[in-house]
Amino acid sequence: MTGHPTDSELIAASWTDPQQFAQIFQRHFSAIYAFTVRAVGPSQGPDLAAETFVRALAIRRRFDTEMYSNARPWLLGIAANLIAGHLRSRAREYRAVGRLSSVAEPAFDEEAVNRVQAESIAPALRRALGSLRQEEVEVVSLFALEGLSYKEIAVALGIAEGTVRSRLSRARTRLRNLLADPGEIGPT
Amino acid sequence: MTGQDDPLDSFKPSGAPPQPSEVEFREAEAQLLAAIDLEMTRSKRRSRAAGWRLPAIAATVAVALGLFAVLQPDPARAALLEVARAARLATPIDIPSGSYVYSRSENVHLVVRPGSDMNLNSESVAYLLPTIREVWWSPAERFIQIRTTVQRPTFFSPGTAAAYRAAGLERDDGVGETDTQQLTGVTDPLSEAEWPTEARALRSAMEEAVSMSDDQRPIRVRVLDLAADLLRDADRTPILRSAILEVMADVGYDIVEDDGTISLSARFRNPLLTRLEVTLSRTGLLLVERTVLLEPDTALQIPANTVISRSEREPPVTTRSLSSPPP
Repeated sequence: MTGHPTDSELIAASWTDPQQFAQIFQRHFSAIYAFTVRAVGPSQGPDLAAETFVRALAIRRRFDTEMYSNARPWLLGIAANLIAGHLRSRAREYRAVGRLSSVAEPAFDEEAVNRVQAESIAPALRRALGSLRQEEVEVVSLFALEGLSYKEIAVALGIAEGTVRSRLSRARTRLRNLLADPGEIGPT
Repeated sequence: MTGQDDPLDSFKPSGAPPQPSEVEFREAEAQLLAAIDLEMTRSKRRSRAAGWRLPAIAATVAVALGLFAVLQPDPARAALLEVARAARLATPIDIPSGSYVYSRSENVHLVVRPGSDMNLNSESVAYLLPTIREVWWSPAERFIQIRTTVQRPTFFSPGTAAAYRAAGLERDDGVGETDTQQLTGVTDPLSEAEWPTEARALRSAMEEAVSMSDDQRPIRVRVLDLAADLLRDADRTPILRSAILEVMADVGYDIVEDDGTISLSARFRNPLLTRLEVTLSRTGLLLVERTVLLEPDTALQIPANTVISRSEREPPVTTRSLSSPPP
C-alpha cells in the first residue's frame, strides 16, 4: 500500500485487518451524514449514517476493489438502501394509524433546528418518498438529493444504467401523482 | 406544481450540507469500532478453534512496533463480551410448579401535569414520583401479581411542592398507599416472540421490532431499551441473554466498568439532550435503568443532569408465597 492508500486498497487490507476500515469512516462519514440527514431528518439521519458504516464493514467483501477505487458511491448505495427501508417503514406507520395529515414531525431543540432544519427535505416530501417502492426511493434519493449521475447511481446500487433510467421514470410518474394527491401516500 | 414540473426538483437540497457535530461523529465512530472489535474477537475465537496460533516472533514484532494495543479489542467492550460469556454459562432460573418469580424494584418517574391541576398559571408542571414495585410472575400459569407502593414526590421548586399539597394531589397520586393487582391469562409479547440466539440475526430482529413503533428516538437507543426489556425478565434462556449482550456490544454504546457492574449508555435528543443508561451485573442481570436529562428544561424547571427516571432492581428469586416480602 502507498503512503495514501485508495479506498479500494484500504478495503482490501481490511479483509485481514478490519481496523483499516476505520479510515474509510474518517474519509466519508461527513458526506454520508449529509445525505442521510437530508433524506430522513436530524433525528434519525445520524443513526442511519452510523449504521451505513457498520453495514458496509459487514459486507465489505462485496465491494469490487478491482473495478473501483473510490468507495463513496458504494457507501451512498448502502445509505440509500437504509433510507428507503426507514422511509417506507415510517410511511407504513403513518398509514397504519390513519393520521397522515396530522402526523407531527419530531421536535428538536432550537440549536438543532437552526442547524439542520433548512437542510433536510420537507416532511411531506419525505412521506411521499417513503411511499415509493424500495428501489425507487434508492434511485430518487441518490439522483435528487445527492446529485449523482445515472452512471454513478448504477455503480452505487450495482445495477445497469438503463435500470436507473427506468426506475427514475417510474418514480417521477408516481411522485407527480402523490404530490398532487397526498391522500394516496403510503407504501406499496 | 404543474404537469410540466419535474417532481424530483422538489427534493433538490438547498443550502450547505448538514455537518455532523463532534459528538455525532464520535458516537458513529464508536459504533463502527465496536463492530470491528466484535469481528476481531470472533475471528480470534475462530482462529483458536482451528488450532491456529500466532507465531511468537510475530507477536514480539507487533509489541515492538506498538501495534499490540491496536490489535486488542476495546477493553470495555471486551468486558461486556465477557459478561455475555458469563451469562451463557449461568444456570437458567428454575420456576417449580406453583412458584412465582419475585422481583422488587425501586423506581422514580417524571410526572407532568397541566399547571391548572395545581392552580398554577404555567402550562405544565413536573415532579418526580418514587414507587416501590413488587412483581410475582408465573409464566406457566400466566399469572401476575403487581404490588405498587407510592412514595412522597420530589419537586423542582418549593412553589410547586406547596401548590401540589394545596391542590390535594397526594391523594390523587396515591402517595403512601399500596395497590395490589392480580391478573390472570397474562401473556408477555416479548416472551411470545421467537428471538434468534445468534447475535447478528438477533440484532436484525430487534431493530425490526423497534422500527415498528412510533418512538421518535434513534434506533440504537430503542434497541438499548428493548435489550433492557428482554433482560429484565428472569426466565429468558442463558443463550438468549448472552446473545442480547453480544448485540449490545455490537451496537457500540458508551461502556463504563465499575466495581462488579458494567454500564451502557446512549445519548439522544428527545427533544432535549438525554442519556439512557443500563447497568448490568457481571453475569448479565439487569440492575439499574436510568434516564438522565442532560440539558435544563426551562419550561418545566428541571435542571440539567436530572435523573428523570430510574429503576433499580434486586436480583429475582423464586417463591411459593404471594405475601410481601416473600419468606
